[in-house]
Amino acid sequence: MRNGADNVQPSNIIEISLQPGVQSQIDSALALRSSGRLEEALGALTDPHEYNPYLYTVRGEIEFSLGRFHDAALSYFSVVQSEPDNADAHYNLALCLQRSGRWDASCQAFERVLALDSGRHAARLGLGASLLYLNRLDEALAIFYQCSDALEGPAVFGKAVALQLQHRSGEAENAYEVLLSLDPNSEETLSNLIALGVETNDLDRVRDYSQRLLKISPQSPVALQGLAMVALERQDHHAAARYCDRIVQLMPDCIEAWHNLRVALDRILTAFSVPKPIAVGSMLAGPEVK
Amino acid sequence: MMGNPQPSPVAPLIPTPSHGSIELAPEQPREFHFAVTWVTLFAHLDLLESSGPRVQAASAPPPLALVPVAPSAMPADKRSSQDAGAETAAWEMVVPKMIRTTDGDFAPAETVPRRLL
Repeated sequence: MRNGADNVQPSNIIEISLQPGVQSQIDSALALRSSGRLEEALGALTDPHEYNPYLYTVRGEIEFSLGRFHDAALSYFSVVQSEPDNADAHYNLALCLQRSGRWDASCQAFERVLALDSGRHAARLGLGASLLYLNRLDEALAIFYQCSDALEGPAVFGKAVALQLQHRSGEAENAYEVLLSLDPNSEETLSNLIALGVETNDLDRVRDYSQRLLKISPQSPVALQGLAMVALERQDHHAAARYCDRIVQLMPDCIEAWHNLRVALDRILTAFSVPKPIAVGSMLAGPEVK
Repeated sequence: MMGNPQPSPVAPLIPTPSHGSIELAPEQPREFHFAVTWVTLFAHLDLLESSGPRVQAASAPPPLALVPVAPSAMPADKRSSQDAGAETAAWEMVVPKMIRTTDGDFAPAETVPRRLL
């Protein structure tokens, strides 16, 4: 019996590539990612055999998870080049650019998302946040006003920050108070209110918001600095020294806290060393009985 | 001593100036830096993870067609003398009228080719 293989002519041979395809690379990476092996998952995608937008999408996701935002931005950039109408990829690109500190570029990417899909409220929020970094406060404020009710809390927060940076203190405080009524434990709201009180030199407000923040977060450096500042302004040297002492324990690099601790201790010692007039009557009365 | 009983790296206190020495002005406190932050906003900005390869939406054939409404049955020799003929041609947008057939499908209402004006 003749072997059929003998009849095979070279022109009939179909070449089967032994090189693994892109899909197998993606499958390997997804399996590794699901087991938490992100570095290895990324390694499985490093040398793609051909261009595939999904491969670059997965790669961008893994790079983002690893905190490699610049690399992730490059991955998503290649996706949007091949799929210009992919709003998700544009949005992820915008996030990566934002995390890389590329505020201007992130604004453009967010704007592209909104051009493709005006209902992307998160993109509007991201755009507002980047505009704040660029100090384009009027535009940021306008964007936060356009945010939907679904993102009311963060949008109000964005408005409050924009107003505060515009030195519109009263309006900013009103916005922050709305937020506190929704979430009394919002640390960043209280922290910004402390900064607002310092800016307007309203020591009572600085003290009140600092005390509120300290109750929520006993290690909050901002709260301790607010209370130390108020104590120093009001010549309460013991309290100032106490707060500064706590700050330097938490933040040994805080030069202001070291300096103010020394100032407060100096003032305490100076107060002790100042000679006081002797009260003759009390000497005659003998030692005080407690 | 205050709450921290541990040795502190605070610089030694400036001694009280004695009589005859230069009178130093007492040191003033330094201002703390209170920054305005908006980290809260980023908590609402999460990466959109894909669930699989993106499926491209199939592009539907355009329902509109452009057909010339100017007579174009002119002989070629005459057309060549009127070189501006193509530029002066008027175009009309024609929306084909569709009717529902008995089996629930759609078919063009006119089977006879549209007569050019």
